[in-house]
Amino acid sequence: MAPKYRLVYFNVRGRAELTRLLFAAADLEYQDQRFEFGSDQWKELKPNTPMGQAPLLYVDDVALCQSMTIARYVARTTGLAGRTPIEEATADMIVDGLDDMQRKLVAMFNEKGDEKKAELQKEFVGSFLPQFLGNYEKLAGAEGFFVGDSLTWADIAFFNLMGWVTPMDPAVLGGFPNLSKVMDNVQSQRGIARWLKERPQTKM
Amino acid sequence: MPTYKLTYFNVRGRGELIRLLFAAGGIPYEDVRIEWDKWPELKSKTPMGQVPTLEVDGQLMICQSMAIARFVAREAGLLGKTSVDQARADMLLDGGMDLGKLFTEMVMEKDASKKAEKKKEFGEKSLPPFLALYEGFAGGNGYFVGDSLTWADIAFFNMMDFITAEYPSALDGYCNLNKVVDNVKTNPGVAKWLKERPVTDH
Repeated sequence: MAPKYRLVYFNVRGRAELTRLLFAAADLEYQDQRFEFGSDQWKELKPNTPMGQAPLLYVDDVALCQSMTIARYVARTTGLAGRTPIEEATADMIVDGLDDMQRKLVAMFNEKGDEKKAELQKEFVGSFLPQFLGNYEKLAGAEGFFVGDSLTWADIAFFNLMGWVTPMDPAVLGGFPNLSKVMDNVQSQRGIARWLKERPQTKM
Repeated sequence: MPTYKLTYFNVRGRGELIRLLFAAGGIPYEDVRIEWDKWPELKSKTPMGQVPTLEVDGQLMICQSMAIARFVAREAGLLGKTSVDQARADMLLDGGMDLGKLFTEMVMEKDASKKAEKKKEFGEKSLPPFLALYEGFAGGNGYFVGDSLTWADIAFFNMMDFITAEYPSALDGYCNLNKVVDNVKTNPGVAKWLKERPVTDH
C-alpha cells in the first residue's frame, strides 16, 4: 500500500516549494500542512523533530528533514530524479549548482539595511546573474531540459528558484533561449500548471 | 567497468569524501591532483568553473562534490538499502554540511582575533549540540542508517577528521559516534587508503 505523505512547513514557498512542485508534477497526493511563523503548533512540534527545523516530510510515521533531502526523495519516488546513475548525478550537479544563487537570494532577503540591500541587488542583477545564467544556458539543451531529453527535478528546481529572481528583473531570461525553454517546459507540465493556478499566493 | 578520473587540487578538502568512497567500494579510479598554477587553463573546461570533477569513460564530466560523492556512493553500494534509508543518509549528511559550513568559515577567517572568537564560539556553541544530536542518530552498533556501513558514516568520519584537527577531544565520551569512526576506519578499503593517502594540511 502506498505510503501517506505529509509535508510540514510555514505558509510560504521558501524551502518547501520545490517539493510541492514535485508532488504536483507527479500528481502524487500529499497533505500540505502549513504553520504561521511563531505559531504555537510549530513551537510544540519543533523539539519533536529530527533537527528542530522545517520543512519536514512524514512518510507514514518516518520523519525526514532537510529541504533538499526531502525534494530528492520525492524526485526519486516520482521518477523525476533521472533515469540512470549518470543522469541522477547530472541532475544533482545542476541542483547543487543552484545553491550559489539561492545563497545570494537569501542574503538579500535577510539584509535589513536598505542601502546595503540595494547594493547587493545591484551586484546580483548586474554582475552575478549574467555570468551564472550564461553558464546555465550552456548546460541546458536546446530542447529545454538540463538532463537527457525529458523533465527532471533539475528543470523544476531552476524554475522554482527563478520565481524569486524574475520579480527583480522580469526580462532576465531575455538572452537565454535554452533557459526560457526550460521555464516553458516546467510551467506547461500539466500537474505544475494546475498547481501554479491553485497554490496559495505568498510573498516568499 | 567504466573508467573514472577524479580531478581536484592536492588537498583533501572537497575531494576526500569521494576518494574515501572509491576506496570503501574497492573501485579503481585515477586520482588526479592539479597544481594551483595549472588551474586557470583547466577552469574553462569544467561545467561550472570548479573542481572536483569526475570524468566517466573519458567523456562525461560531472562537477559539484556532493553530486560526485553520491554517484560514487551508489556505485559502491553505500547509499542506503531502501529509498527511506537513502533519504535518512541524505538528511544526516545535509545536517553535517550545515555544521561543516560554519567550521569552514571559522578556519578561513583571516583576521586572527576574529578567528579566535569564531573558534571559541564553534567549539562551545555549535559543535556540542551537533555531536549530542548525532550521538542519538547513530545506533549502538555504530551505523547511522540501518545495520551496515553507508556513506553517512564515511562522511561523518571525514568531517570529524577535519574537526578533530582543531578540537582534538571533540569525540570524547560519545560511545556511538566513536563506534561509527571505528567502523569506517576498519573498513578494509578505507584502512588501506588511510595508510597510503598523501598527507596534506587541508
